[in-house]
Order: sequence, then C-alpha cells, then structure tokens
Amino acid sequence: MNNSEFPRHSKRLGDQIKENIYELFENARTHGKCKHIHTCGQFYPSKKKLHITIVDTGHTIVNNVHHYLKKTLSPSACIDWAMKTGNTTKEGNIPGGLGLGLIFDFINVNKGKIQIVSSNGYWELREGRITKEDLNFSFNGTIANLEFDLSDVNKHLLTDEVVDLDNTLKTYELHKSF
Amino acid sequence: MNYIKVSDTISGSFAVATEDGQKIFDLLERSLSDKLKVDLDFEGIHVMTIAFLNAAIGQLYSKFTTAEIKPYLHLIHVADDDKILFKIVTSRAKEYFAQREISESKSDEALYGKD
Repeated sequence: MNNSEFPRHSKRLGDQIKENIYELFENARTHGKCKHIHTCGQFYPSKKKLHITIVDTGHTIVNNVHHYLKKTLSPSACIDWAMKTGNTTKEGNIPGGLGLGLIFDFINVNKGKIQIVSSNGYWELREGRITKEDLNFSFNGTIANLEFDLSDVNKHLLTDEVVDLDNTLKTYELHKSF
Repeated sequence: MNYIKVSDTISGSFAVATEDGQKIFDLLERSLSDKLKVDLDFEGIHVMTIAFLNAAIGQLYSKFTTAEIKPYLHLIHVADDDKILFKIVTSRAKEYFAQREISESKSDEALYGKD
C-alpha cells in the first residue's frame, strides 16, 4: 500500500483499505469455517496490475446462503446476495455484514475488479458493473481475487477529505468584502 | 468502575479476529449485567475491523438495550477514523436484533397462533 507503484491515496484511505483487506480474511475464516486460508499476491509490472487473492476450502458462499435463506437461488445469485451491504449468513448473537463497502468503492473508482468464485458460482464487480455466471464446474471453497489498477494516476481521498475549493474561495471573498 | 484495556486483553494491537472481540464482549457483559460503569480503552490499537466490533460491541445489543449500555460503557482513546466504525456497528446491531425479534414473533404466531 505504501509502495510508490500503488495508486496515490491519503493515509486515512490507505488505513481503511488495509482494514477492509483484514476484514476479507476474517470473513473467509469465519464463514468458511476452515483451518487454513491461502493467499498470494502478484504484481504485473508491464500490465500495471496488482492482484491479491484469498482462497479458502471451507463452506462455500452458495451453501451458506442456501442454508440461511432456506431457498434455492442460482449459485451466482447466492454470491450476489452475500455481497450486498447488510446481508449476512451469520446467525446467533454476533451481527454480520457491512465490512467491505469501502474496498468495493475504491476498486470501482480505481477501475480494478473483484472476482469471486464459490462452488459453481462466479461473480465479478468491475467499474460499478456486476457480472454473474453459473459455471459448469465447481470449486470446493471460495476464491476472492482483488485486482488493483496501478496505471491509475489519480490521487484518492475519502469524501470528507475533499475540500470544496470553490466554496472556500467564495467564503474568502465574503470575508474580504466585510 | 471497571477498566478494560483492549490491547492487553487481546495481547496485541490488531483488533481483527471475531474471537478477540468475543473476549471483550465477555468482560463487558459481566460489567453491564452488574450495572457497573466500564472504561473500554483502545489505546495502542492500530487496526480494527467491523468483524471484531460486531463481536465485541454489536453483540451487546442481543442482551442489553441502548438504555442499559449507554450510561455504563465509556469508550476511550478511539482513533478519530475508527469512530465511524462504532456508529456502523451499533446501528446495524440494533437493526439486526429488531428484525430477529420480528421474525421470531412471526414464527411463534405461525406455530402457536396469536395470543
């Protein structure tokens, strides 16, 4: 995140992206209910891409959603349901959901993508557009791949860090006129 | 007045895992059940996730009402950027347990009929 190849961003945003990546690992651990999480990263210097992939071989999103909703949706629709803010398959006294909104927003504006394969469902988010597909093979777990576009020359800030310069100048003019 | 230092309880500065949130919840639950005021100190915490806070704080709303939590629980040394996480977690917890109560009462009605 602090590497100069990574799109420029404020410290606050960087800290929150990191927290969201930890959140993804914790989701894989608690929802997958498996002993091991596998992860790897790949930097593509000429394509200017960074991939971070998290894999678990535990309970799939598809199984968890079917069990929770007690109805059958297509595999890709199950992933789509689970990706919506506030939806969670957690039961019991610990609420779930909500942890990943910021990284989704960042990847959208960065023109990167998020790809998820769980059981025989495929789900992708790229530039705000969701693609869903039901596969003719099944993966015994869940793969989440985050792709960051390192050719992005913009500097990214959280909304509340953006200073409205027009209004600031107007305010200054107002002060001057007194 | 009780005092809980999060970093001591979870033995580190990463408040990420649900199990660590559960440790904090267990301590808070004891204090709130006894109606004892408690200072929950986040000094030294560098990373915090919603998963941790759902277990530590959100879960309190399964047992206590806002009126039973707010006067007793005092959060200290929370980084400015993390304050929003508490708002998200407490709003979500209230909504989650309210929905659960509605769906449980609907199931009871379906099984046993209305009183």
